[in-house]
Amino acid sequence: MAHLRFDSVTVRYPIYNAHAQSLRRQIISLGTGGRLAGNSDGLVTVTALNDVTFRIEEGDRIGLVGHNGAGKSTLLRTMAGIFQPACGTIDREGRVSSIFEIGAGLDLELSGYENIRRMALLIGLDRAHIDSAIPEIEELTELGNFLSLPVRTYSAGMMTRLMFAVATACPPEILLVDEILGAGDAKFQQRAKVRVEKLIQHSSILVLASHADELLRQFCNRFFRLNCGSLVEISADEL
Amino acid sequence: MWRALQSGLADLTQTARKLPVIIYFTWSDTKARYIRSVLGPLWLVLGTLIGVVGLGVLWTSLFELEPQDYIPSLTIGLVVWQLIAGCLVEAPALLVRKANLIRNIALPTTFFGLESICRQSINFAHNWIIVAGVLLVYPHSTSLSLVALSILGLLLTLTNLLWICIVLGIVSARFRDLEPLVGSVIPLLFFLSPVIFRTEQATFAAAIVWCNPITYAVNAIREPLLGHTPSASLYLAMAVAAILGWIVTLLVVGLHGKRIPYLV
Repeated sequence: MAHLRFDSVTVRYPIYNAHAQSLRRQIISLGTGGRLAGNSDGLVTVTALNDVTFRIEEGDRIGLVGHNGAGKSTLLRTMAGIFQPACGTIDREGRVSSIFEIGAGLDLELSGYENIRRMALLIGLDRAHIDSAIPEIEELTELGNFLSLPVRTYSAGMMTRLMFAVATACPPEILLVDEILGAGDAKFQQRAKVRVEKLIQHSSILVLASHADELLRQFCNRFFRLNCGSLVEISADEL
Repeated sequence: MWRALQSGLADLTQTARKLPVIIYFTWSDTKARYIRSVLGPLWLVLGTLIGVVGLGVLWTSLFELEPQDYIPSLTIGLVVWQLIAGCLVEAPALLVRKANLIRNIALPTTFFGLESICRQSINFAHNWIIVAGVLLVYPHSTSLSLVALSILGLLLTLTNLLWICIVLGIVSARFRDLEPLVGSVIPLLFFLSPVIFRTEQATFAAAIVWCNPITYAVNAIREPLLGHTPSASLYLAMAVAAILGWIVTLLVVGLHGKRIPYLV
């Protein structure tokens, strides 16, 4: 049974400026007892998620809202297991698939087909599965002969289609999507909707972060609002 | 400390489980290189060949060396050097260049180190065409057990290279000026490595040459193929370096691996 449970999860990360990223400067500051570095040691710690607790169970379709920098992307990456929390526990059950950035993980020099194989392998599918999923991916992307061309010739919308098709090729139990579904054209949006609905029927979990309230109402049945790293659950009317 | 070791080990196990993925990546990369140009990775072999011929002719005539001994020694030395230098030059950028993958897919930290070693090993394997050719022209009597010893040397070299690449990748994700630093040290190391000379010829600077870890790798792989039996301490030193290095690496991965997605 797929589920995703956060228990008082806090994510903090250090941000280093060019000064702090220099080994030479660190060594100099050692030699001078740190006086040269002074207060400007260039290290800022950001608390991106603050004591976040929630339970997502099978069949939940979460819409994630919040202003820019509220922590939506950080939350999604923490859900995916990319960012590790500073404190709190995460209980995740089920295979995760994610679509975070346009073109993420794509090798621009390789063809669409080759990228499909690589991404699918990276997210943990086996090769027999991938080969059997390729016709379906071809159909969903509608990229036709473009799939044989290097991905650098694709538009942002085409890359989104490719990534969405790969991420949903073998129904993941947990699908995390950040914003970018809006990049496809109307027809692709329609197909994506059908696809996501089909995924939901296989009782998986969807978390979709977006600023487009209409899109969220269409896809989701629960809504989370993030504000400066704190999370509250809201109703559809409060969107 | 114990927990860091465990989490480092867990990272490595995950990478091991992804080995088929890495092999597929390496294989398809190599295939793509053959498709793009007829010679594919053999272009690299051509470069090595030019190096062997150029340096071989120059040094044998300059120092009146015996080509029968010198050319095979130079060739194997150069090929091993290219493997090591290739890995080291690439290592600091491993994680930083893959930032867009690391920030989007949960992958073990050690994954990229192993991928790089596999890629470099393919080039290395191609370069053995030249070694085979040179050994045909200038045959050296060697035995099966000596060849096995040379393979042991290669395995120890790769084991050590892997942990070095992983650590360099992690440290230079934090300290970005490590990459130019490594880039400027590597050419210097070339002259301290027994590539264009043999260790026993460097009597005047033997201590310095033996301080260079690459000396051990080159000798451990090269000497058996030329019919000499290197001392067991050579292999012992490499094995000890591998064990200590891997303990440190697992600690580094365990303590800092989780921060990599924030750093790159």
